[in-house]
Amino acid sequence: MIYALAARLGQMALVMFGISVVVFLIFFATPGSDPSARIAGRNASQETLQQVRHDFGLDRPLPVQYALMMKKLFVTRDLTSFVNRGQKVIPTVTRAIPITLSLVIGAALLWLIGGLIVGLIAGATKGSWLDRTLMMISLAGVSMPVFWLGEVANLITQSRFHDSWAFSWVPALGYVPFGRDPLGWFQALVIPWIVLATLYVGLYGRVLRASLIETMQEDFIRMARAKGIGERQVLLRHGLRTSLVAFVTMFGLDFGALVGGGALLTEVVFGLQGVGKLTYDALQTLDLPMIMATVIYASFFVVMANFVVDVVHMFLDPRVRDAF
Amino acid sequence: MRFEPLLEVKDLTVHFRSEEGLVEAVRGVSFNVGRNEILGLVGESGSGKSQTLLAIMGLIDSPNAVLSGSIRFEGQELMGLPRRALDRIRGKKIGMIFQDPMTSLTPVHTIGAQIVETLRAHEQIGRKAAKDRAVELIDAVGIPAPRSVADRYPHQLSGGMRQRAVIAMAMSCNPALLLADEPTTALDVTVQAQILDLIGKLREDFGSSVILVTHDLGVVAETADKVNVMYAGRIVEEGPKEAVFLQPRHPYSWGLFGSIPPFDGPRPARLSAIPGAPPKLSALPKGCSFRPRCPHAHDACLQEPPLAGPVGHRSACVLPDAAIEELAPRQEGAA
Amino acid sequence: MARHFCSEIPHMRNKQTTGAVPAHGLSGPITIHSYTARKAHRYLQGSRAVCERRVRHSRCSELPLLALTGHDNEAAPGKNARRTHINRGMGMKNRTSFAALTSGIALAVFATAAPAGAQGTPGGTLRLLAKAAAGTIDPHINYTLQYFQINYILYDGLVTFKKAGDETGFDVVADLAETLPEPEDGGKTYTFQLRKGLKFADGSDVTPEDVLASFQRIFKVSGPTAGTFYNGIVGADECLAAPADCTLDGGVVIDEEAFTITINLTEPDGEFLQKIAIPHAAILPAETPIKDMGTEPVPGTGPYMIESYNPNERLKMVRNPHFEEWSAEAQPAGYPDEIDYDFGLTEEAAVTAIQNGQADWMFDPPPPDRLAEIGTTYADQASVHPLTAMWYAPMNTNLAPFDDVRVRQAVNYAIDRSAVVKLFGGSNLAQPACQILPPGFPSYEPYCPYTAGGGDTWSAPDMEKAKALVAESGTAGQEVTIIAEDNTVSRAIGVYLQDVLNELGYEAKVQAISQNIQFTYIQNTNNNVQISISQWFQDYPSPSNFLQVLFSCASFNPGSDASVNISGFCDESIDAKMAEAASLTLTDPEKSAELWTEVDKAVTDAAPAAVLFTPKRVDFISSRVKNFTFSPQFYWIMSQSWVE
Repeated sequence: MIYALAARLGQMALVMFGISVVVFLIFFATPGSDPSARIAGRNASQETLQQVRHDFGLDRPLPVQYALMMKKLFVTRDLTSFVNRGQKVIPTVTRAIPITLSLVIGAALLWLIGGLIVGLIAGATKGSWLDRTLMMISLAGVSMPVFWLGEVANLITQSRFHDSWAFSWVPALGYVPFGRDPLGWFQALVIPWIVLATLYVGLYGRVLRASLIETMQEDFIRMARAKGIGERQVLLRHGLRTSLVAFVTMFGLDFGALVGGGALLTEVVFGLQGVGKLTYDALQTLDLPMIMATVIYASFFVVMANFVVDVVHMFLDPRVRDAF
Repeated sequence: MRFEPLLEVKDLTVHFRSEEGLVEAVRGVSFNVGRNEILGLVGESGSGKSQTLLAIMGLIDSPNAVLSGSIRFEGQELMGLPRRALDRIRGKKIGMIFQDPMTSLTPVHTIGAQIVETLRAHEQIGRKAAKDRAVELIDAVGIPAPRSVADRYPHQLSGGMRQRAVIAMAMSCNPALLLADEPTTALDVTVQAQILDLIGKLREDFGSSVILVTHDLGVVAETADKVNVMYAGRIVEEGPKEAVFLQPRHPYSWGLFGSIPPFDGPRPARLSAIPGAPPKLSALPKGCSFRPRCPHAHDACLQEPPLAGPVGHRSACVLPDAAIEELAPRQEGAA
Repeated sequence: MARHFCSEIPHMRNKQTTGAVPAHGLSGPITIHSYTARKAHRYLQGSRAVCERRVRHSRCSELPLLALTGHDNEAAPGKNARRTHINRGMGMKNRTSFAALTSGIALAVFATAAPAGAQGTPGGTLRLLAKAAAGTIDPHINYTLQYFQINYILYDGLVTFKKAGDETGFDVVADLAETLPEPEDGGKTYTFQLRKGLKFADGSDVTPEDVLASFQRIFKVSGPTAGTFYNGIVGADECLAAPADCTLDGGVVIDEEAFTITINLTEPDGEFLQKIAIPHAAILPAETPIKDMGTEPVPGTGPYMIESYNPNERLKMVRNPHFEEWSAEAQPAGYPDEIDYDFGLTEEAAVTAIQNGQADWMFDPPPPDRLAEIGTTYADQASVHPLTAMWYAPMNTNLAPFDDVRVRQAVNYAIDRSAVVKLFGGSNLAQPACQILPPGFPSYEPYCPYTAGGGDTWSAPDMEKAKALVAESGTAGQEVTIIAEDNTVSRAIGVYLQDVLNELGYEAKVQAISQNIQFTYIQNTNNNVQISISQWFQDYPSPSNFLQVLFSCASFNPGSDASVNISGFCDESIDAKMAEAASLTLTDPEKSAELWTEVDKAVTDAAPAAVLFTPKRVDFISSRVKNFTFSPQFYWIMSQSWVE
């Protein structure tokens, strides 16, 4: 177990190193990405340009720049943004983490419950109109781009029906810190939670349904029925419990990616300054230090999520336990 | 005292609607099982023996299945019984075990948990008591270290142990009847013997009857009291084990027993087999379904032959008894 | 009929309000109104909506001010476009009272632009929104419109632009200096008398030492305009070569007793006062660190100071406790107690927030799909003003096919500028332009050689002439790539230009690049950009700001990301004329102005670029913000508005 953990950490470091190098190279390979002129300002004189380039170390060879950036990121931890000069990248990311976590955890709870219910009902009533309806709605949920759904939600709750009794409680777009105002925190996040969860409820519902239907064809289901324990028990204790493995595995990976900033479109649409939005802004403005920080943060979480999923898999499926 | 049989199956028919037409898996099967009796149901694949068992338990859930006939268990009609009532009988009065013990057990629950589940579904019994009972059962089927095995998962046991565990699970509520669908097919020979012993002793230990479905004649010879031979969905011969084995009446049985390689004597150059293949269940031949392969077929066989013969030992063949005497191959006496 | 019916409704509103102030120059009474009750507002909104439902939609859509969506109700700006108010530019044919009302908002604001308004009460918080922060808050470095706007109320220079809502907003007035000095020594020396008793926001006094340190700092931090605006100061050359040791010896000379500062230039520069009026020459405390301050606020002398700055969340400005108004026209006292500038909401969300009253103003232009509702339901919260700016398509004069002047002229003839204006949002948001200098600019005289049918201003494209020129040049069939920005408008214009070039016989395609790097990308000759779409906004109101900065040989730096002469245009004779015009600014301003006009015409004739249109700015404010004053230099003067 310890060995497995150590091996994982080693893998993680390797992956993050690889990603950081690739990001770095892509940035400098992009034509027009040289930040000196943008930092120096519009119509800067050539001397100013040279000065800026020197100040930012942009006239040094690439490997040196990479090493310097990594040092600033990990060792001295004072890497600053190219675009918002003086803004330290790491504290900015750290401050954005609770916002992303609030969004993602809330949505995850919603879609776990929702996906479970949808998948279970659809799988259990396979072929019925209920099953078909649920699957159609799920498909619609999966097909709707999250930013479109978010904008439509905004249109309804912020703009058109904002003053109606249904939505007058919806506060202005943006994040309200929990410590400052728990109720406001909750109110501001409800609509983003629902929007983000919709896609996943559809997806997970369909996956669970398929998994469940497949599981219910297994012999042990027939055996369980032969024991006379009742169909509901058969469905839940034997069918669902066994299908959960695929469900939970998928969840772990999706959740990891989202915590790493994958919900960026939702964050942009709802004005939540989470890690995803930071990534989005940094990509728009080609702010290399910020890009590097958010990408490394994201890759850390994806690798971590993989690891956690493996551990959880072990708990859920005893057959895998002994393989360790 | 009532001597009515434990299980009375009358004219059981199971058809499946399919693209090719009606698949007649079980055609008018009738038999009885008494208390403490072991019935062997023999036949090759596709003869309808497994479907018969599933029909008794009501486990045929295909929407294209059409069942008819009567299945009376302890005087109660099972055919058409609603699910709720059926669940009170399943596991409690009638137990069932299947061919592959690995796939019969839910991989994510412990052995003990699965036995406890059956117990608590049918009896008012606390968790601790149920667990203790489960351990007893595991012990009763001959598994060593029963308490630790109870906390193990199915994949952690060997094939033989698993099947024992499955038997323990099926017998946990002392059902009067156990349906065993090819219980030893997936096991190796040495383990087979042990399991058969176990099944054989269920009569003594639990007082239950058993319907043992198999294509393995040796299994039947070992364990059964009565034998029904099935072919193409019908029972073609039925009778006490010794009678059927030593004096088979039906040409199909002759072919079956003839194909058993001799235990001693010169080694045959080829194994004898019945020529031809069993008919498609969706396109059965007119009359006796064995007619195309029967060396003794004649026109009378175009009519479906009823079961006929001395009391207790009948066959579905139009050959008169004398002819049967004449034509039956000599059998070595089985010990 | 219906038109009058619907528009009568707001006219009734006028009768409910108070404080009618007649404004000059328009027929009919115009009122500045203050809403007496939200209920009244609702009633009127509802009535109008009811009206619009009853009347055919197209009728209602012809109502004025819906013109924000670009229905051409108005005539093109007439000859008197020079230094006119926006509403003359709008030139509406059918003056209903509604139109008068709404145009009156902007105009009446112009008319009552005198600050220190007698009507507002100080207090409250202004809530501003922007999609993103604009970088560093170091006033010597930041070069964005977004922060120039606030730097003008945070900091002061020796001089500044007058905070006025009309064309006098272009005038330079004394700020920290007591009066505007007369240039001496043939225009090479300016002596400023520093006001006494002024303090920075940290409580320290403003002394000549701070002034000297600030000028040195411009070079020490390598400010963006150090080499372009301030290189005329004596000693600037050494400072540019070795910024860390900058002394400006002989260039900026202070007398601590007399409290004066004397600035010596190497050559006379008629634009010098304008150059030091912008925030890059703000006076900061001498101890201000010599580095890009980034997110750390620098104390200033303005009525507001920055309390905190998180580029991801908010820039918070509060009152400067040490501010006392010394000149109402240079730096008037402010009304709001606090100004919160929040970042992160998209433009769509910002418009909705203002509609809901959750915010007061957005910096970014409202997205085109919201203009219709802004122009109708929220018409009284929107104001439109012309900008001294242009959208243009520079063509690379050193790359085929645009190295042939006939091809460049052909492009100018072929473009239908009214179509481009429609892509931008309609004729109330932009007007077609032909020449380099924008309307209202000094030395601007209408001149358009590229219109069908002749005349001073553009009226229609001349495709035949264009095709003839292309045929003459023999360049048809060549491949051309247009570099646009990846936003809706720029892309749409790119696609339109592609059509035009294809019609002229070229093989054109469009490439859209992230708007954050497109500007530097098209400047670098290594990228071989043939034609692109760009904008240019003035720094200060001098013709050199457009003509010299964009089209002189000195602004062309091959192989550099900073070569703002994107077309690479270099004409010796025109260069000489520009130098002459610049040198005459002080000594013979009239001749100088004439020369600039000639340069404008000469450059327009040489067609290094195809000027497309002059944009206007839409400001959308919440209903509680009053006294919206729009300065042509800083746009909305935030300190002069109050909230109710």
